[in-house]
Amino acid sequence: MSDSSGSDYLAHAVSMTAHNPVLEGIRDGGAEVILGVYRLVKTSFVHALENQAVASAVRGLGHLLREFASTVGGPVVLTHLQDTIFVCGQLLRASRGTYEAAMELSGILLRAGVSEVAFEPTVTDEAILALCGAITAAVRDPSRRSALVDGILPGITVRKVDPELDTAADPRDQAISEQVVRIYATALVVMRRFFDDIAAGSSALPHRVKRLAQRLVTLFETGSPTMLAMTALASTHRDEAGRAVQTAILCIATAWGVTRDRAHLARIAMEALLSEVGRVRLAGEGKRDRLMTLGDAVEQRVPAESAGICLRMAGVSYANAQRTVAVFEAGRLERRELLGPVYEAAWAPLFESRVLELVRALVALLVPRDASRARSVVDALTVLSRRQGNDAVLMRLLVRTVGLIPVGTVVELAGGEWGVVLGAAAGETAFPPKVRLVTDGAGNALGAPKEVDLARPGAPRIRRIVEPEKARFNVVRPLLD
Amino acid sequence: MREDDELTRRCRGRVGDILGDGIRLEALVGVGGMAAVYAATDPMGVMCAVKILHPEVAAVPEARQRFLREAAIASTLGCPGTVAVKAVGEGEAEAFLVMEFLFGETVDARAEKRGGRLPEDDALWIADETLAVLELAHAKSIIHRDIKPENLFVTQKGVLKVLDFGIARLRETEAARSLAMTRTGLAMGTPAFMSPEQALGRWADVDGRTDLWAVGATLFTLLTGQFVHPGETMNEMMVHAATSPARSLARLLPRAPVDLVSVVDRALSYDRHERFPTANAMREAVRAARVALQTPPPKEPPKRASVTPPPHVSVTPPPRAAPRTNAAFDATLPLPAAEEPYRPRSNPPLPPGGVSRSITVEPPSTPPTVRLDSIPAAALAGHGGTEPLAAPPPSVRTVPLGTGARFRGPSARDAVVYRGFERIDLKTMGAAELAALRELFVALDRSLVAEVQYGSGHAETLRRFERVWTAANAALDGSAHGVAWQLSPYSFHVEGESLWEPEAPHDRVPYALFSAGVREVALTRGLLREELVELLRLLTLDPATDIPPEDDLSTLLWDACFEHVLVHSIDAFAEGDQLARAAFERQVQGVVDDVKREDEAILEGAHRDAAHGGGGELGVAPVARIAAAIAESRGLEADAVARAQTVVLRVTHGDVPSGAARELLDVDEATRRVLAMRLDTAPIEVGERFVVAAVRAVEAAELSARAGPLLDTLGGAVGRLLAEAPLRGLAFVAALCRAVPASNRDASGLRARIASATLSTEAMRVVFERLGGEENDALVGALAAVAPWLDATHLPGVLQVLPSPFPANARELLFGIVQTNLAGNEGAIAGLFAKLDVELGLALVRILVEAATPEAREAVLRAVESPHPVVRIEGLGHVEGQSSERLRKELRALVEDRDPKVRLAALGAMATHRIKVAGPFLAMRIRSPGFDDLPVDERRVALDTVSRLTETRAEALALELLTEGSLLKREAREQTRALAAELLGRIGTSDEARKALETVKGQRFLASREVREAATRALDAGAARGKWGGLP
Repeated sequence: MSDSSGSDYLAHAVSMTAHNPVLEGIRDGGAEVILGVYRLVKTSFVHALENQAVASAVRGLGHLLREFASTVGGPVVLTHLQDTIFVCGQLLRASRGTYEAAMELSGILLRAGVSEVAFEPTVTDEAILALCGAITAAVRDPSRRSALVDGILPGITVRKVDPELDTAADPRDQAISEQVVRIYATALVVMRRFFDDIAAGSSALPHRVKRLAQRLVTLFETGSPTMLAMTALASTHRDEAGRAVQTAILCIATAWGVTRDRAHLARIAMEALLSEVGRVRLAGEGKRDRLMTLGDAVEQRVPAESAGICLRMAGVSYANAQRTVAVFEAGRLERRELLGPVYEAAWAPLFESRVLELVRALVALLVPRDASRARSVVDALTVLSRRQGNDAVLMRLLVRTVGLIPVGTVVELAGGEWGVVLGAAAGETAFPPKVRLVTDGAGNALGAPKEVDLARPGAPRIRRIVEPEKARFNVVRPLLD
Repeated sequence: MREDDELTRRCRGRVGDILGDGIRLEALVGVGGMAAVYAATDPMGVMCAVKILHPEVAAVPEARQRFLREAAIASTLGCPGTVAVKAVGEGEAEAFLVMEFLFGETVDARAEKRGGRLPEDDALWIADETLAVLELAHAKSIIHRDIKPENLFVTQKGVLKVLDFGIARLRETEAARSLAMTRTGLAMGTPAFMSPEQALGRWADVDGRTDLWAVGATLFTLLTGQFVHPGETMNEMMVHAATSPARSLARLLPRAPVDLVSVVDRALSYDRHERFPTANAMREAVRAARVALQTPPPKEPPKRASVTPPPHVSVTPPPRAAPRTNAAFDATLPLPAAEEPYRPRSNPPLPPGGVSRSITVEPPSTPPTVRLDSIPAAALAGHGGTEPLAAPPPSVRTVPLGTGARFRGPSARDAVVYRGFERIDLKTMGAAELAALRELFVALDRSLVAEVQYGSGHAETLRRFERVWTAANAALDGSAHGVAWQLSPYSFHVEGESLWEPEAPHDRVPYALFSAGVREVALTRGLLREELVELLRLLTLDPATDIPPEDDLSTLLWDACFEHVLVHSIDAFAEGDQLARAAFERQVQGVVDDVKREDEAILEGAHRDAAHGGGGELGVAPVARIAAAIAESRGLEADAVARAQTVVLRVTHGDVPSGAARELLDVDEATRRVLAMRLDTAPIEVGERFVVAAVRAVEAAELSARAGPLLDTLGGAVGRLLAEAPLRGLAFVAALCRAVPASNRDASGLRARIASATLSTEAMRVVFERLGGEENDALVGALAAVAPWLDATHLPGVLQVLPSPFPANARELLFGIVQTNLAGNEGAIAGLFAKLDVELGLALVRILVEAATPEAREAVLRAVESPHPVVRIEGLGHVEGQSSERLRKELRALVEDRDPKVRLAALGAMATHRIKVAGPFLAMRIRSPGFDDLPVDERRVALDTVSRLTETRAEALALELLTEGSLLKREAREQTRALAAELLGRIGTSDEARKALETVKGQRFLASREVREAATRALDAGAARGKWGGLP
């Protein structure tokens, strides 16, 4: 155990920065490439392709593209999306003049039906000249609009406009439940990709992960119960990414019981998202979609492996140290039977580590790693509440959050109607809960779901809780209306 | 011989020559790149100066013509600030000017005499006078091109003369360029005073503004004692001159008056279009700066009616110093004496009439000085005290914060209203609001420029920030709810109407925000000053260097939890090209579709199955079980638990109100608060846990042979810590090493690997170099904690600093590190002998001897490299033994050294270490004729040393010396005999010795009185020792 006296080394920020010379090279050099293409295209509209001005511009651009490609280490890709220009995936950094030129170029390309042009490092001057020919033909002659899209240009790839990508919906125009579903789905995809990278040996921490954590908190702050409704999807998305997202949502909800500090909440969410990176790494590549049961020998390495990855991701800073410690402690707590008490019981684990561990235990019951059946939330809570060594206060916070009859639980009311339990607004206890009816007493699906507050006098009583396996239908859908 | 030496020699060779007009070259005054200057006398015997173009330059007609023409023009400027040209001369291979001879000194020499710097007034006077000359020259399209302190001359009468008109232009000729190729430093001019366009060789761009740059550079150098661009070599300076904007004067002189800084900085603008347009314009600015320096302080501070300090702000009297200064000082405190602006006893006079009418001298603006204890640290970074700042409006609350401040955040908002971003309808913003926003951005732009130019803590920066604050408040005051703007990658705008398109380096501000997904920013009424400070801090972060990997500007803005700054970001989760983004979107949409799918038929089927007894019924028992567990965990008795269970069940069934069940789950407010506080874990607590986690991580990584990158990460962090906060860095490493569990089978190996990876040689070298400083004791303590794990890689650093005169504890520590890492490094360590003092040299011999390895033995031999005889003798004696021929030679050399101190030290070492091998030649030396000429003390020590090495031989030797008397006595000889008598008194045992002493005692003619007395004392001493057999 280290002697900690005076060890305030975290007081001095020495965190790493996301300095990436290649990306900076792209950002800094992108404008020149865009302008090169723009000038050539404009020249080819003014002069015949055989003109020396065009030939000279082609030579210059060819040289520039090949040089830039060698800097980038791959093709030079110019993309126009949502009125924004990207060079090799990086937003173009340029002055208004260059941007206007870039937008004019994009306009020309869009008229030819193209929103992206990629130049391979081996692109030849001849191919560039042919591209010019195809663009001018497609723009000048409507009957030849497909000249560019259908043409074969060695070393040059053009792509059509993807209409889905070109409509940027402002999230502020969406209903909160819509935003919640979308961010949940985004979180799953982001975390899956992140875990793929981790499994492949990467130790980069994309800022998307922190952005996710913040976004989850932001949506929680709206007070919408839809966030908690996402926990009903636990058994649907059983991979590590799904567990991580579920854990993050439940951790925020539990911590919400004691704090409204959004920075604290986002920190806890991020710790939840990263809590099992060690397991992902140790399980190795391609294991994401499988139930991962690791042997004890590997299992006991998970906390330290997670801590190591966290450490590598962001170095020695207070923020990262907190994250690393929480991930390490929660991992140790989770495996206390294998590894014994954390720090040989010399120090108590941090509060957030205990929250994280408790929530992970619940998620593990909801979505077992082995082949055992998934439990309903209420069932999982029942088991968890009986676990030895629980922190009573934390357990109460968790149950308050999830509800004695948890959100997403299918209940049958006295009249035979089926309904899905709605979550309470964050921080509130709804017991008895509100229920959104989905069938009438005869089992016919209701065209328009109806909400019933069981706490109101005279409201129908709950006859029984229906096991999720038997309910079978998508219980989340009614929660989104 | 170097080219310039050759040139000087050649020029000097011309002294005595008589030029065509009977002018005799009397002395060489100086040699420049293009010409040489001589002191000369004309046929009338009047002293004059002659400047002769170097033949290789004169051989180029173009260069020659320029020299003669432009110099002639310079002489016709008709101002006393140029050197009068009396005549020009041309020969076949030469061209020369005959000029008035000046008595005085160059400005360069003048500054040199004062330690390289001149007082502000002096420097400004020089600039003023120079600009007056340039004004005339530029009016005639004459560009000097080489203004620098060396080319400015102050005569004994106090007139400033600008020298070398026309010379610099010659550098642009082909001849000069070829010269530059062969004689760098002569033909290239001085890069320190070279404008960017000159450094780039863009001669077409050279105009009057080039000279103004040089005047700015001259001022900069005279005021700071440094060149505008730092550089070790001329080439380096040239590269800087060509590529880098000049440093602000304020960087080096933070207390320099703003007007002065502004003049110099503007003159030194990289882009010549941003410099003063004319010499006259610059001269006016210079004069205004001079006036500001001399303006007396106002008696009453101007008051700002609109500003009322809030109650917690204590108002102090205005500063006594009137000139607007960059200094951030508290007017109530005296400035340190060294910081007082220097005033020459007699200031160079201002022109008659004082300031030109076109100069507007603003009265010093002196807002109420306020002690803003709660001024944000970010705004006061680098401040040494309080700063006169405008007090915030009464509506402004202040909150304590530093960098990375956090505010109340949106969670305090109405949960229904708040939707991530409260929208301000941009279309409703009127012309007045837009105008106010533009004002805000103008102020912001100036503020950011000041931050780059002066630094964040500078008074000017703070002043400009005040304008931003004022503009923000003005914009908010004129709005209904607040003001908002949108972003493009290059601008801030409202509905396409641009508000601000910053230029480099601040063009990264909108870019970084936009690329992080930020699309709109709004300020709402009630904006806190601290929020604005924090917002500006975040906006100016450079994503490449200032932002941790997990963050971007969007996440940092979110973290700040602004209450009155609203930021709307899009969810920029997708990256890459169109394909990658499309794939991402498809995956997301797939999940969304899955989540929202309608399962009507399945739902009805499931209901029917259940209705037909298909199972799936849990009842409500689970709820009761959870309730029971919760009740038990609250420590309730069994009956209370049962009651709780029943209550919950009844609540579930709607039989009783829900309050009872809610009570079961309640967490009281006090508990919540305690838990919330635990989320603010102190860095120390996190730190100690982090150390353990990190070590466990390294252990785990070693199992899979992946520890390298992890150790590299730790090493990088520790490296930065060591550089910035070495005590913390060392403490961190020590904690890491200590955290390695004893249960690890390779605990010591792991500790060594951690130390080796984290304490890089370079970083530790820096730490070692800090020893002996103010933090010495703390540093020694911290180093001692990691010393056990320092290895051979750190030895070079230790060896480098070990010879330094450190305090004893530091020396001991460093020597301990050497000792620990001796094995295998004996050669390198032995190299220290040449540098160590006696104490450490002897200690080094000792540890090498104790090591007793062949390598150590070999290393000890290098003790001969020690400047200290004792060390050399000690080393040789240990290694080669007493009979070593090498030792003998070494000793002989030492004993015969020319330095008496070395000889004495050598004798002392022989005696101390009883090096018997030294006896014979020491005896020979004593017998040698020159011995008597040595200092008495040395002779005494030599005799003593012999006696300690071998008493028998010493007695014989003393006898021999004693008995060699003669009638012709030499004083030195007699001293030696007396010393021999003394020695016999101490060591003599033989009858022969006693008899000899007796004899000498009675020799009135053959022994001096001194010898006889010494013999008497020796006999007494011997008797006292009982060595003469009791005989009288």
